[in-house]
Amino acid sequence: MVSAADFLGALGDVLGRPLDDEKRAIVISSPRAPLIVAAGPGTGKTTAITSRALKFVFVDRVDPGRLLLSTFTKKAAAELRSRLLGWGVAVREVLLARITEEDDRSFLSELDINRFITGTLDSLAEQLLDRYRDFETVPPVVLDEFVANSVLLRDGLFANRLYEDQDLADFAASHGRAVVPRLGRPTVADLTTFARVYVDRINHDLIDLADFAGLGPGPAAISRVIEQYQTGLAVLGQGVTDFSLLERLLLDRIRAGALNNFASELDGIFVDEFQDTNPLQEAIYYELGQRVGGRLTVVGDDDQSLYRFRGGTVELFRAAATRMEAAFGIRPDVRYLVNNYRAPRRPVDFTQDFIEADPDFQSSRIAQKPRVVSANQQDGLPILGVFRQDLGSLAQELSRVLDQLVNRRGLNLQTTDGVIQIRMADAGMPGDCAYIAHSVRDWTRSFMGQPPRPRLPFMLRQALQTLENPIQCFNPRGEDISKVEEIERLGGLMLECLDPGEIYVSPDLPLEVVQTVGRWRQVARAFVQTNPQPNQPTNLEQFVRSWAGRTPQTNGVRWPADLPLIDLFYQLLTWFPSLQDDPEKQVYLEVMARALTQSARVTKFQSRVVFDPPGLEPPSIKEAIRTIFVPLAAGSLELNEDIVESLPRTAVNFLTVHQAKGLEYPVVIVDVAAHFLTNHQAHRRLRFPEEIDEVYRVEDLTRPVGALRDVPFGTARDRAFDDLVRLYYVAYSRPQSLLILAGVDPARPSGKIRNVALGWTRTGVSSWRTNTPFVYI
Amino acid sequence: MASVTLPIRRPPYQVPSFSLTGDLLSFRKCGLQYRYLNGSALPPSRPVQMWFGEFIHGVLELALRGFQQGAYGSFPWNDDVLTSLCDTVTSRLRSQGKTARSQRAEDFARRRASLAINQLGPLLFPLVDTPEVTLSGTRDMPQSASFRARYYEVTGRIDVLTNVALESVPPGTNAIVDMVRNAVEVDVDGRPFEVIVDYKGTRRPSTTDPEWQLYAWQLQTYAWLRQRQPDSLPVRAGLLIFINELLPSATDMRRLQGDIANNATDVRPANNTPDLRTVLAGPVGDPPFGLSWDFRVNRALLLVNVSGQDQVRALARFDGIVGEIESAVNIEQQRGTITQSWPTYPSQATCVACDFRTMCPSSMYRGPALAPLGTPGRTPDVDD
Repeated sequence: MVSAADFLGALGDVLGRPLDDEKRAIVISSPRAPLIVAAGPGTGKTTAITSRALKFVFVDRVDPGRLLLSTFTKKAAAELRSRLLGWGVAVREVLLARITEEDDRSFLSELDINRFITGTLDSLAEQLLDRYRDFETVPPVVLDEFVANSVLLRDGLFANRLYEDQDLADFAASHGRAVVPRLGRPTVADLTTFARVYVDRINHDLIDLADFAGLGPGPAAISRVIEQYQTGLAVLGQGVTDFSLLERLLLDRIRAGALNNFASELDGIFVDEFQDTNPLQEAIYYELGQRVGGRLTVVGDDDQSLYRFRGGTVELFRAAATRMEAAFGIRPDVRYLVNNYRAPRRPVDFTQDFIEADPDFQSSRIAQKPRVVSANQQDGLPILGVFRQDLGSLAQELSRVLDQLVNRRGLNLQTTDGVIQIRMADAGMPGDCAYIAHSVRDWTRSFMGQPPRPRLPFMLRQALQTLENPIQCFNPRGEDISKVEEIERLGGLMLECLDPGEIYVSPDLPLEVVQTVGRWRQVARAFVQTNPQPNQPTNLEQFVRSWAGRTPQTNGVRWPADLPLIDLFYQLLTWFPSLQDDPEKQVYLEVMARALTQSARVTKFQSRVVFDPPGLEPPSIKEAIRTIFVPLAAGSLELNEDIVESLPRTAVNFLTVHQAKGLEYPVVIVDVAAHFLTNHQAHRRLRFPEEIDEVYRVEDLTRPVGALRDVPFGTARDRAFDDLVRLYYVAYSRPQSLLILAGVDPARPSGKIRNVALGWTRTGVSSWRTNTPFVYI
Repeated sequence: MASVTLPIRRPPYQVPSFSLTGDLLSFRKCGLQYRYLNGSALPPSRPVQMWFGEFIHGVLELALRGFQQGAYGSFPWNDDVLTSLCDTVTSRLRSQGKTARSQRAEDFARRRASLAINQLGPLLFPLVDTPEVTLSGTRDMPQSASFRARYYEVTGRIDVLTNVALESVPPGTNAIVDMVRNAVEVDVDGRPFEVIVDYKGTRRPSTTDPEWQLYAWQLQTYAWLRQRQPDSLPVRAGLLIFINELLPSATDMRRLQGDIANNATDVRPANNTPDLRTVLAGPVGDPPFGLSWDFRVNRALLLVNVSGQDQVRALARFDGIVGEIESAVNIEQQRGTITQSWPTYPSQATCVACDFRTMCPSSMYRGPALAPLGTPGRTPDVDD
């Protein structure tokens, strides 16, 4: 038999260093009992979960096909699988080179590492509902979020004119949704996003819709919307679902025993990022866990829970020991990972001091949680603070620091201990530096007729690009999709081809959308005037004119009876070399193509424009504008950054805190207070959340009728403060070496602007006022 | 003065995953097209083969489940059952945003699917031991210091037949069984074995087409993957089923004529047979144009013997393709350009149906797009 020592030795060789004691304890902890691992940032939780799963295989001889591993995002799932396969194959090679016992060699040779079952819960739900279905049942078809919202709009709100329901309007307004005076209610677009919150929450929290409807006229109104929406999904076809319904369907099937065969073939379940699990997902894992005798390993960090707005419920992880014991009848083993391998002592201590600073936060953490410490022997660099008078000078100073590091390969830092020279590694590149913020948008939103104003991401990018040696930035989320130049041109050109007379853009559409598509057309016309290449033997103007007149450019070709809109899109791409060639711009190409094709799922003309019979041309174009161009113009589509192979090293990476979760960078700039020039109420929720946001209102309203009714919760205000502490804890724990806090002077900790990120507690006290834990530069 | 040197950002740990059909065969068709369709996740505007491939897999899988449950009785199944199965799959594909290029194309696909169920089903379905087996294996990445990973994962999906089922069929009653018996040497000790099956929503390729060799290598690789699974038996052969051949289109007939003229097919009608006269006369009337069922099924079935040596050759070939893909990934990351990093394999057949033909550096259609079809030589419907 391969012993645990053999396995750990081989794994240590593969990883280049042996596992430390805390990870070894996790790896060899009994495979038969439930296990909870609370792992601080940089402590190697994915290493721990992967090593434990591999130990089950190599030492306990569990078939990898009987082990299920799940995590939160597709990228994390891909990395988890990569490690299982890569390390698994490498460990086998090492063991085969060392072991002589024939039975063991035979076992190792025949071992099929690839049989691990891995994925996000959504992807696993799709696979399982497909594989374990009756022969007459079709596999699930999951709608893209924007398509699902189209169904919600059409069948949930427009059907029976529920969008005009006054109870619904009042209910939305009670959550802080803005009422348009002219309409006496929020916009339809706003009502759609509002309804989506409840559609998902009802599923995530396992709420009976009738119970919820009984809570009052508002809940009753939204329940009617949800019922109509669910009917709309059913009409689209058997198995058509959205993501939250998919998981609920999976739970129903598990409870009905339909997956008993699958569960009987499992010997262990591993869940990473458990702190962001919602009650529905928890129920799925515990139902499966019961069927495998409680052999469930969950890994996470309550201090890094970020996804409450998507139903993530950190309270479930905090109470996991009790809840698992109740579910399995076995007290789980609880282990901690506290050795941080990412950064030296100073940044790690700074981060831990931050999470421990607010006494009222401590009761929201796992009880008696040990402090994370650096495994690195060195002190490392002090934390730096760059605070300047205004946004412009802040951007200039940050660009100067990056210029020193990237272009001049070093920065001399004056500290109380003397001068420290910070040197860039020879192989260091701009992509070793990250700018992390709550939001990385380039511009503020226009408000009450005020034009948008530039934000720090825009100004920093400008400053970096005007350096003597410009530094590139990667920030695909900086600009609204509708304002990306290529999308403006391409969208405008498509409209010019389809609707040359501008007769099909309905005036009933939201004014902002009408203005946006109008701007696209102007941009497109200006672009045509530049006569872009290729322009021989014909050019773009002739192409657009030909479309406008429905007159083919080629002799002998008839104008077809109908054409898919994606055809026109690809043809126009001919004049967009940057979209053809730039890897980082593929996200824009993908989002437009997705809008064009996905909307076909729910539309009559299926993303085609029909020319014959002529009577169908107007409705097919109107439908295209309503279902494709309006969502694009309204910014309803999310960029799919999974298609970017890896974040570029040639550019400074701009990331939201949520995007940065799980990543690490040698240099991290955290925007802690760049936009807080005054103690203005508008941004208080981003720094000192005294008013209750929608997400907490929804939680409070639904909790008494949902699966969380017995879970102890703090007040909405406390939860809001807790979440803000967690957000900056995640941001502060990203650097491998240098952490820089950035803000404007009025927001310095010594000032009066209260800010959780800068050490203020919810009682309005900040120890940082007198004892600032960073060095101003 | 103290000095601290910053570390560099560690690249994510990756074992890239490649599907034999979706990645490796697709890349061999055209690297740049593969980059856009798979890397940028752009949908093809004319997913003719893709739609038909998914349609036929979906219908046959549903039919097989029905057969194994005894849901529809003995063959032939009636039109209501066949229509219902096809409706279920087209509806599912439609709700995924996938539709046939035209109603004519969908009708034709339904005829092919019905034929596959009622005439091929009685031969094939009783032999299937395990449908829809997912295959996956990890292999060493071809060596290059600049590649992002040391290993790669290769995946596929097949149906599995066992010789237990094959043995129960009397000789001369089942073309598939006869074909296996003729090709596979039965061990003296009668050790059990498996045959793996893959469907292709295409015609039988010409023996001069690159696909001819690639499909054979694909089966050898599937066999290698299958044999690594603990519940498998030795795989002795692989069976490819070219569904188009069951009901060839006019285009298929013309290409068969060409193959015969160029001596580029291994299954041609015998001399002086009605089938040969039919083929030489070209597509007259409606499909199947009078071609006999025996000839059509012979063209539809291709049995490939699985051997260790062939597996080694096939795996080396696919390793090489992975190396080419990884090389392009690496060049793209270094240069920051797509069009200058990915290889192209221009051919009239590939380029005319390609959505990127007006901007591809190697395309014969490069240049300004022409309204409304992009380029000359393309028709609104380029399918059957």
